[in-house]
Amino acid sequence: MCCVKLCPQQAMDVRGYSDFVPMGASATPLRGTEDIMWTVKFRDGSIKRFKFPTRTTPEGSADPLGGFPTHDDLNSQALATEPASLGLDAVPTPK
Amino acid sequence: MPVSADFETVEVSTDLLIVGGGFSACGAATEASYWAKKHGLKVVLVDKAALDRSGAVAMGLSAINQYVGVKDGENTVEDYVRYVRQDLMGVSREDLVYNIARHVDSTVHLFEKWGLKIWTDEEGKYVHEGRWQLMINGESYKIIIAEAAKNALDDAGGEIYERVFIVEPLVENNKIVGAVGFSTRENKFYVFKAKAVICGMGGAVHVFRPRSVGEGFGRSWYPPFNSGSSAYFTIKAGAEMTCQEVRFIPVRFKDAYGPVGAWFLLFKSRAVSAGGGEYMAVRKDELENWAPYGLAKPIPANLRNYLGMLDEDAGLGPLYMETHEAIGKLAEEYKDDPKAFKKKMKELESEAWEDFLDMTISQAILWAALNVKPEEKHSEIAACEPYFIGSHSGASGAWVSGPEDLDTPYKWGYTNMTTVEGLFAVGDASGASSHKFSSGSHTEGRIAGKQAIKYIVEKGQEPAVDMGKVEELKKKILTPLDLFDANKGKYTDPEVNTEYIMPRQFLHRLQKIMDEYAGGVTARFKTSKSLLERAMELMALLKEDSDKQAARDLHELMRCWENIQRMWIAESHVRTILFREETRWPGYYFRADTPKMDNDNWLCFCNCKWDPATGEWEMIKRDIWTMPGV
Repeated sequence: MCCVKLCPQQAMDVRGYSDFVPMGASATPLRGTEDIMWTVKFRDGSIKRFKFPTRTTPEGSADPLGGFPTHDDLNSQALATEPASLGLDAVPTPK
Repeated sequence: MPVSADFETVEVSTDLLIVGGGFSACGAATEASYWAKKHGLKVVLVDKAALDRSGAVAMGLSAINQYVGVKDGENTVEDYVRYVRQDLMGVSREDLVYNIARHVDSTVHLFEKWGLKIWTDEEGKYVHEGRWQLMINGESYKIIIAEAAKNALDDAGGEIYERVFIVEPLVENNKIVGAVGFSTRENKFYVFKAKAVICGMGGAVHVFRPRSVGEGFGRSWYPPFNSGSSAYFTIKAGAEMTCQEVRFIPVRFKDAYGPVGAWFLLFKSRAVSAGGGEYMAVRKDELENWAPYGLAKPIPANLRNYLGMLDEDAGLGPLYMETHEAIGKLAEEYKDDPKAFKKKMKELESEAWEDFLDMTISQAILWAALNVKPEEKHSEIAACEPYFIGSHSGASGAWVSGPEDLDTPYKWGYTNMTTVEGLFAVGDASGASSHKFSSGSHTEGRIAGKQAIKYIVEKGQEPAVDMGKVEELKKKILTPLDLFDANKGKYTDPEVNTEYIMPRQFLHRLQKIMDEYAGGVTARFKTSKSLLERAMELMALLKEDSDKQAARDLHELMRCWENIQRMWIAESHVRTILFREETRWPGYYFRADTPKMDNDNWLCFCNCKWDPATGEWEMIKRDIWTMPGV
């Protein structure tokens, strides 16, 4: 189904597993760069359409450090972007 | 000339090798790249598939299941430790759970920066599905997480090898020196040499016979490409394993295995059996038999499973999720305002369908094929087949060293390092630290990523790879191709041959043993000492025949080795269920000959270890450390 979603030509069609899914239904995606639209066709012929966002940033732009301040201490418990990315002053430690 | 003679050997040298491409491996790559760049080290990641859509989150997810909310005072890290202890019936590595929980919020905040859409309310606060769960628009969840890992590796001069299937670890004197595998697309045998290795190759599916055995054979809840590569890798390296008995059986929408979390937690739906009503209420007294865990909230997942299973065993099934009733209740407050009611119903309908379309499209197709409109009628749920998934509500995986700043008996090296020097385990590969899910697995990868670089900086040595052993491994790994080629002409049908067994049939043989003797679906998740001993007898013969698997092409060669990986995790599972003479997680498996929980003797970890030098298994009891004051 990942291939169906990614094909820019909408060239692939799929059906349910034939050993347990009754015939006649389909779910067809149209995936863009920031959202995906679905057309769900029921066995009884009724149709429902949905649109959901997929991401909030341009494709390819993810900054691994998220713009958070980093540090150089290899020995501390703090990971590269911590404690800033936690929203705390320090990494929690046992009380 | 044998087919294997046509295989080129490709050698790759690196400082840190990450095997796997899912959430934990991406977390490791992202964090390790930052520290590697600072110390002039190289990171290489190897994925069986393509990073954008590999691992358990390949299709997407509709929720983040671990967010503690420390910064807003929603919960404390200790609260999470308490929750996991309770859900796993007292058996968890609380130091590891604590360590992941104290870092996990930063992972989620990074995800949001990278572009993941987390639902927020009018005040800009995250919308919770449940206490620890956040709702997301997660169709592209894996793509976003892979993108950050790729960008990090790229920035640090690292490399990614896609479509390379890792088979065996390379170990010298209990120290990891690399790994070998083969390309799934070209005739290439890969030798990776490394100073440290992070193993994050997922859990295991299809060890047990699935409910659907025709075209839907691959429609498991957990992805079918998880073949136990991690467990095989760490067991064969000689690492101690833990909780190999703690498999996971989720109850999901039947057959297509759509998620139930949103229905139970967000929509507050009830589950009932057709003949017995609301089994969690009707069978409440049964929970006293599993005290103290059965009497605290939330009731452990395995006990919720168990009460439903009791109804099914009594002939009261099928089980149903009362979706129409839940949606009706949620829309009820708008009933006097037709316009608002219509709007609310539309919103709930969209949320319900997105839950499936984001992560389990098969379930959306199944609902459409059955003409199910959740607001109109209920939908069938059922227990899936057993899976090995240490990141969820199961606990299987390697026994790893705990964080330095907690006073525990579990510290022998760097955090998340196994008992094999330089070999780290994360996600489904690391055991007894359940309820990591996607965000926690990524977090564990980040923790191990930093620790592995620290290990290399402080102790890293050039890997002493014995190329003679590598040549032997190459020959063994490629044998199924040669075996097929040498014997294929003996009979008319290449799949019917007395000289070899095809991988699909071998898989059926393994699944039949596990299903019938080790408590699979058809055995109604029940087993006993005698049944398990019979499983071991049959497994010994299966193991002998594993050398006789034949492959027509690279794809089947991968299938042969996936089968062997599954066979090893199966053996460790059977051995550990045999060792633990009690029933502790009745909704995961039921030892009919020891049907009660025995806290006096078995409130402990059951570990196992295979010795590469002797080929012998050792079973080990380990004490449980509980966090003081928690």
